[in-house]
Parts: sequence; C-alpha cells; structure tokens
Amino acid sequence: MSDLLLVVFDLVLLVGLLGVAWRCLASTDLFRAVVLFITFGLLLALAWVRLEAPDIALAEAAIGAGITGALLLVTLERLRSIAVERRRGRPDEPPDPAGADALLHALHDPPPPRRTFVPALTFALVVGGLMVTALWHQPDAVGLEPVVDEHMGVSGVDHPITAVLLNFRAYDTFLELAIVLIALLGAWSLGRYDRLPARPAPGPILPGTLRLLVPVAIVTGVYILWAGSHAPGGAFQAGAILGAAGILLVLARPRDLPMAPSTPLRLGLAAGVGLFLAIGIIGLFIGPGLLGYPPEWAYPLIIVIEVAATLSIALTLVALFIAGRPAGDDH
Amino acid sequence: MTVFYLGAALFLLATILLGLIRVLRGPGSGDRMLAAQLFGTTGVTILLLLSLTLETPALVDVALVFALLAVVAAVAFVRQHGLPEPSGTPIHQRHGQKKEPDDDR
Repeated sequence: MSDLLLVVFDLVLLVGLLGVAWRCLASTDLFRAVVLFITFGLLLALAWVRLEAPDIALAEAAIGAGITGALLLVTLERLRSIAVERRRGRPDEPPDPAGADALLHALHDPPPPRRTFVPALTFALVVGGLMVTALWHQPDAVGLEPVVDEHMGVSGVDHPITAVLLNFRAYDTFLELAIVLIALLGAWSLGRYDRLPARPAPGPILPGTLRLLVPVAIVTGVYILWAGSHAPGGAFQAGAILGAAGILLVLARPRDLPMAPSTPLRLGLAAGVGLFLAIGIIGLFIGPGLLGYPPEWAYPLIIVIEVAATLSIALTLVALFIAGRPAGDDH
Repeated sequence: MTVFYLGAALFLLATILLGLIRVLRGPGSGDRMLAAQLFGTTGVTILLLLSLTLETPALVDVALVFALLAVVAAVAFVRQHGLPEPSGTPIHQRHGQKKEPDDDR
C-alpha cells in the first residue's frame, strides 16, 4: 500500500514539475514567471528528496527558496524602474521607436502571439525519444558507492558526500569555488553598485522580523556547516543560508547600505579559493599529491577549508546580489 | 501509520497543484506571491511527513531551511514591488482603476 502511494506521489510530483516548468517558460507576464520559478524550486527540492539526494535538496532549498526568488524579483523591479525612467523621457536620450511605454508594457501580460505547437511538440518528441533510447540500455551499475565506502576510513569525515567533495574529488570542488569567485569578478567588471529601487516599508514588522530571523539564520548556517562532516550539509549549503541572511539585511535597508571596507571584503571573498589552493599545494610537497591530505590531518584540514569556503560563498552571494563593485573603489 | 503520513503528503502535494491556479490566474501580484508563500509552508509539511515515512532525519534540516528562507522572497516582494506600473495592469484593474499615489515618481 505504501509503495503504491509513493509511486502515485512521484507521478503527481513529476506532472507538477513538468507543468510548472512549462507554464514558467511560456508565461508572458514576467512576475508570474518569477513566482512559478519559486514554486518550481520547491517541487524540485521534493524531487531531489525522492531521488534520495538530501544534500542536493538542502542546497536547492537554500538557493531556490532564499536567493533566486529575491534575485529575480529585484531584477524585475530594476527593469521596471529603468522603464519608468525612460517613460519620463530624458532629453539626452533618443525617443524609443516602439513608443514610450513599450518596455514597461513588455514586463506585463502582453497579448500572447498566435503560435503553433508543431515545432515544440516535434522537438520534445525527438529529444524525449533520444533520451529514452539512450537510457534504455543503461546497465544497472552500482556506481562508485562501494569504492567510496571502502576508502571512508582515510577520508577524515563520516559523510560520504563530504568525503567525495572535499577529499576524493577536491579538485572539482576547488574549481567550483573558483567559478563562483570569477562570476563575481565578472559582475564587478560590468559596473559600479547601483542603488536598489525600494519603497519605504512603514511599521515595525520588517525590522522585527529581521531581528528575529537573521540570528536564527546564522545559527542554522553554522549548524549545517557543522553537520556536513557526518550528515547532509556542508560549505555550499551553509554559505547559501548565510548569504540569504545577508540578502535579508541588504533588502531591509537598500537606500543606506553601509559599504563594506574594501580590503577585508576582498580577503573574505578570496579566502575559500586561496586557502583551498594553499592547502592543496602544501599537500603536493608533504602529502600524497596536489589537493591530497595526509589521512591523520584530513579532518582538521577539511574543517578549515569548509569554514573558509562558507565565508567566501556567503560574501560572494551577497555581493552578487548587490551586483556591481562598491563605489569609491576605482583607485 | 506510514500509509497515513504518505496519504497526507500526497494530499498536500495535490493542494499545491490546485493552488497553482491562483498563481496562473492572479489577478494581482499579491495573490500570486501569497500563493507561493503558502506553497512554501505546504512544502515544509510535506518534507516533515516524508522524513517520517522515508526515515531520513536529514529532511528535517531541509524543512528547517525552507521555513527559514521562504521569508526572503516575501521581503524582496514587499520592499521592491509596488513601484509604478503602467495603467491597465491587473493590479490596477483590481483596485477599481485607482491611481496609485506614487504613480508619477
């Protein structure tokens, strides 16, 4: 009975995922698409749970619920305020050939154009058919689980995912951290910090909520980081939670955001990658190889790397949310 | 008891799919956002029920993170949304074509 219910649950979840994804992509109203995307993140987290990947569900919860939704909403508002600026008609700007309101209206439900479903349907059928034929003949492989289990003793931690991420395949994790940093450098190179559009929120609810939630978020982030050594959790998830706490603070006072001091900010942003690389190079000389640790030192080294990576990821996410390098930083 | 928990989780998932009608039809932005917030609460409950049935205590952490961070999107909505919108958008029609006081900003 419970097996049957699980199958029904999976099927309903699958239908919901596909339906929400389709409506999200096909939506002509950008705000509706954003809300559908938030819902999609929730359903996706449930799907990861059903695929027995609670680590990824945790990451999806932290990033999908906390950060992406806020990021997309703020981006939409930025687009809208740009459109309003344009509508007001600056004298130094050439008039918009499509009409002054075109951009503003493009953000809201324009009439859907007449379209045919034949290309989309053909594409879906072809891609679906290819995937089915490719996956049909997959042998029922056990994967790398036995190999990982065999070497857990030398990994320094008790959770296989953390062992793979920070010991056995540390190189991949290092590159992921580097990519996050490079993404921020890309955002910074595009322009200076531009104030977020915001309307005043009168009343005590917002400050009160922040006073309660931000400390709880910090405690939860540290807990998830600590849990990573023996249960689902770790640096990426903890960094995303702390980053979401920072984003809450940024959203609370976008007009008078205090600028972070430049040097500590940069040190914090680079700490994860820098420390990871330094420990990796030390491993090249006294350990088994690049990014390899001596087994007796593995646990403390992994903890040091994870703490630094958490700090860097949290700072990077907040900086990416603000987008643009801090003002007065060009000399 | 497992069957009961799973049935409850399935029912809650069905309510999410039903609630999608509010997201799709609106009419106002607030209706859509509130529906998404409600999905967040429902998702927390589904995660807790699944954690009991699948015997995966780690799912409680996922539920905790969801409950904690669902508010970020709501704060972003409250702080950001409501800047001038063009006339003729659903939110204006809903409030009887009332002109927003900050419409000229």
